Amino acid sequence: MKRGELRVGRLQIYIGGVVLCAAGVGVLLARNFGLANWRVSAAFWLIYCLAHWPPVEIPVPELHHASTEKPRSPSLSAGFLVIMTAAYATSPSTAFVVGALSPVAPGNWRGTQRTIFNSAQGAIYAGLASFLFHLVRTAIPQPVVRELIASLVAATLAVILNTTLVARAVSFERSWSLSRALEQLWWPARHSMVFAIIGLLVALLYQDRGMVAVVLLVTPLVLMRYVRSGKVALEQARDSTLHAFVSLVEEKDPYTRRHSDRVAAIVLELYKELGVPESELKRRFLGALLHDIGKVAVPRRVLAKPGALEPTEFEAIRRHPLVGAETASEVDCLQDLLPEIRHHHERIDGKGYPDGLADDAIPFSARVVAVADTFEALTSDRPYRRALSVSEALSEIERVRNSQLDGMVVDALVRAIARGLELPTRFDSAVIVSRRKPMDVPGQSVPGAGP
Amino acid sequence: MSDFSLLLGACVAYVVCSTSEIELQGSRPGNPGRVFGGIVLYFGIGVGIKTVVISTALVLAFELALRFALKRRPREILKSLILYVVSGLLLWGMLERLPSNATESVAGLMIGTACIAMGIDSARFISVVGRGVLADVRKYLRHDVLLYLVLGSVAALAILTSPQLGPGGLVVGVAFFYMIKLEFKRFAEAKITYAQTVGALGRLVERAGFVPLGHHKRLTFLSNEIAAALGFGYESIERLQLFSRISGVGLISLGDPEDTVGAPSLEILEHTRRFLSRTGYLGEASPPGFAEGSDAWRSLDSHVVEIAWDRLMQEHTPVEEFAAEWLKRHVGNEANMVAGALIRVSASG
Repeated sequence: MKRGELRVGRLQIYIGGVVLCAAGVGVLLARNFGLANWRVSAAFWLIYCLAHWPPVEIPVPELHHASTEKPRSPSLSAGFLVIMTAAYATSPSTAFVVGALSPVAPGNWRGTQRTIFNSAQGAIYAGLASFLFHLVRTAIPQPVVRELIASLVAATLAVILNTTLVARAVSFERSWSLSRALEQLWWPARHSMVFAIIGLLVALLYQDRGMVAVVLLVTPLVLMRYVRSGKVALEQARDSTLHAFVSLVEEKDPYTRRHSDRVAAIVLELYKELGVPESELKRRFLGALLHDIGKVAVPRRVLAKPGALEPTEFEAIRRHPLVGAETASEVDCLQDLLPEIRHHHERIDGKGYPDGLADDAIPFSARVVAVADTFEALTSDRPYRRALSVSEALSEIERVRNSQLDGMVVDALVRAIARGLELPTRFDSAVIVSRRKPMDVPGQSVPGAGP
Repeated sequence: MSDFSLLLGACVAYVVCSTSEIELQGSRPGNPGRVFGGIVLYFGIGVGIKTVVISTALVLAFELALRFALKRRPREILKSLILYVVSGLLLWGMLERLPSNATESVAGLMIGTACIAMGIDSARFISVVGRGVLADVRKYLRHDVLLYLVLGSVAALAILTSPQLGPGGLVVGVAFFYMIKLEFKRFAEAKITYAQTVGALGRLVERAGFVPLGHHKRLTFLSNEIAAALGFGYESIERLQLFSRISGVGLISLGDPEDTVGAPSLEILEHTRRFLSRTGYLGEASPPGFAEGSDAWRSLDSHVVEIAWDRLMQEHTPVEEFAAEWLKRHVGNEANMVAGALIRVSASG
C-alpha cells in the first residue's frame, strides 16, 4: 500500500471514530435530557447562518510553493458564539443538534467527508459543553457566580474538544504532527474562547428576552467580522504588492527570475531543520522574499552582463542591500526583516558587504538567507556560467563554510537536501550562457554566488 | 442597582469609550465612543433635567481634562458638548413619546440608537449633502449608520443585562466595545502599513533613478489638489493618493532608467495599473481606462493622475500653455474638467 493511501485510510478511520462517538453522546444526552427542541434548534441554526457569514479566512502563510495541493485556511466566525449560546441557554440535546447542524450552513460546506466530520465534532463539543454547564451550574448555589464559573468550564471544554478533534484530523490529512496542527489552530482557539464567554451574556438575554436578544448581539459581531475581513484583505494586498514588486524586479533579468521565491523556499526548509517555531516562519519567509528588493536600483545591463564587472558596476550591486533596507525601514511591519535585507551579503570572516560584519555580529536571519541565496545562485544558470549540480553546489558551499557561510546553517542545508528539498519551479528561458570571469572581490569568493 | 453606582459605571463607560477614535473602511475618523457613552448614560440613569445637568457637568470636566492632557482645541470641546446634549435631548424627546413598556424593549433601544446616531451626526451629514457628493452620502449611510447601530446594540445589551449582572453589565458592554474598537484599530493599522508599503515602493523607484526624488510625493499632492477641486469625496481622494504614490512603478517594466526617458505617461500608468491588478485592494480600485485609447472611455481619476504626471514633467511651461497643449491630445468633458481644475489649483497657488 502506498503511503498516500495509508494516510487517507487513517483519516477515514478517525472520522468514523468521531462519528461513532457523536452518536454515542447523542444517545446518552437524549436518554438523560430528552429529545431536542427542534423549533429552538432551527431558530439557532438560522442565527448561526447569519453569524457565520462572511467567514474570515485566517491568514496562513503560503509556504508550500512546491506543493500541488493548496491547503485551505481555517476560518473563524461568530457562529461558535451562537453554538455556545445554545449550549448555555438550551438543553444539552438541543445544543447537540445545533452543533451537528452548523456545518451545513450556507457557505460552510467543505465537501462530504469534511462536513460529516465537522458535524460530528460540532455535536460532540456542543452537547458535552452544555451538559457540563448545566452540571456545574446546579452544583454552585450563588446565582451570578455559578453562571460565570459554569460558562468558563464549559467554554474551556468546548474549545479543547473542538481544537483537538480538528487538529487531529488536520494532522492526518496533511501528514503533520499533532503539535504542528495544534499550533496552527491555536489562533482561532483563543478567539473561540472569547466568543464562548460572550455566549453567556447572550444566553442570559435569551432566557430573559428571547431570540431577539441573540440577534441584537450577533449584529456587532457581524460588523466586527466585516472589519476583520477588510483588514485581512489589506494585509494580503500588502504582501502580494511586495511579492509582485519583487517579481517585477526579477523579470528585469531572465537569470534571476523567481530567484527570491526559491531562496524563500530554501530558507523555510533551513528554519525547519534548525527547529524554529512555525509561528516565526511567515516573517522569515517574507524577509527572504524581500532580500533582493534593492536590486531595482541595479541596471539590467549590469545584472545580465556576461563578462567581468567594472568597479562602478560592482558598486551598484554592492548598494542593493542598502537600498532594500532603506526601503523596508519606511514600513512599520517590515522592521523585523531589516537584518536579512541589509546583511545577507555579509561574510563570517568579515569580508562581506555592506558593513563588513563578522561572526555573531551578523544577524542569524541574514546568515540563513546567505546560505540559501548562495545555494540557489549556484544551482541556477547565470550569464557567466551554467548551473552547478546539487552535489557540486554543496561541495562549493562546504568549501567556504565558516569563512563565508555559517557552518551550522550549512549543516542544516545538507540535512534538508538529504531529506529531499523541493523548490518552486523556475520559468527557464532558453538563454545563451557565457562565462563571466570571476572577480576576487569581497563577498564573492563562491563563484557566482551573488549578487 | 442604585442610581449612584449606575451613574458611576455609565460615566466610566463614557470616559473610556469617548477617548476612542475609530475609522470604518476608509471613512473619516469619528468618535462613536461618545455616542456609546451618551447612550449608556441616558439609558442607565433615567432621563431628566437633573441628569442632563449632572452628566453635562461631568462631560465638561472630562473634556477640559482632555484639553490639558491632549491639548485638544476648544472648538472640539464645544462640539463634543453640543453633540452630547443634543443626543440626550433627542433621546429624551423620543422616549417621552413611546409607551412605557417600549422603552425597555429591544426594538425601542435599536430605534433610539439609530435616531441618536442620525441626530448626533446630523451636522456632518448635512455638510456632506451640502457638498453634493453622492458617493459620500451613500458611504455615510452604508458605513456610519451601521456603525452607530452596532454600537447602540452593544449599549443596549449592557443595559439589558444590568438587572442580572449589576454593574457587571456595563463592564461587559465596555469590554465588548473594546473588542469592536480593537478590530477597528487593527484595520486602521493594516491600512497604514499598506499605505507605507505603497509609498516605500514608490520611493524605491525614485532611488533607482527612474524619476527624480520626491516625484511621487509631489504627484500625490498635485493629483490630490486637482481631485479636491473637482469635488471628489474622501474615499476617492484616498484611493487616488494611494495610486499616485506608486504610479511610477510601471517604469520598471519599460527597462532601465535611461531607457524610459520620455516614455508616454499613459503607457507608464497603464503598466502600473497592470502591476497593481495582481495585488488586490488597490488593484481593484485603480483608475481604469489608461489603455482604452479613447478618452471617452477613460475615468476621471485616470485623467487626474495623467495630467498631474504630465504637469510634473513640464513644470516650467506656463500652466495655461501646458493645459492648452494637453487638451490638444485629449478630448471629452473629463479632459476639459481636469484641465480646468489644474488651472484653478495653480491659480490658487
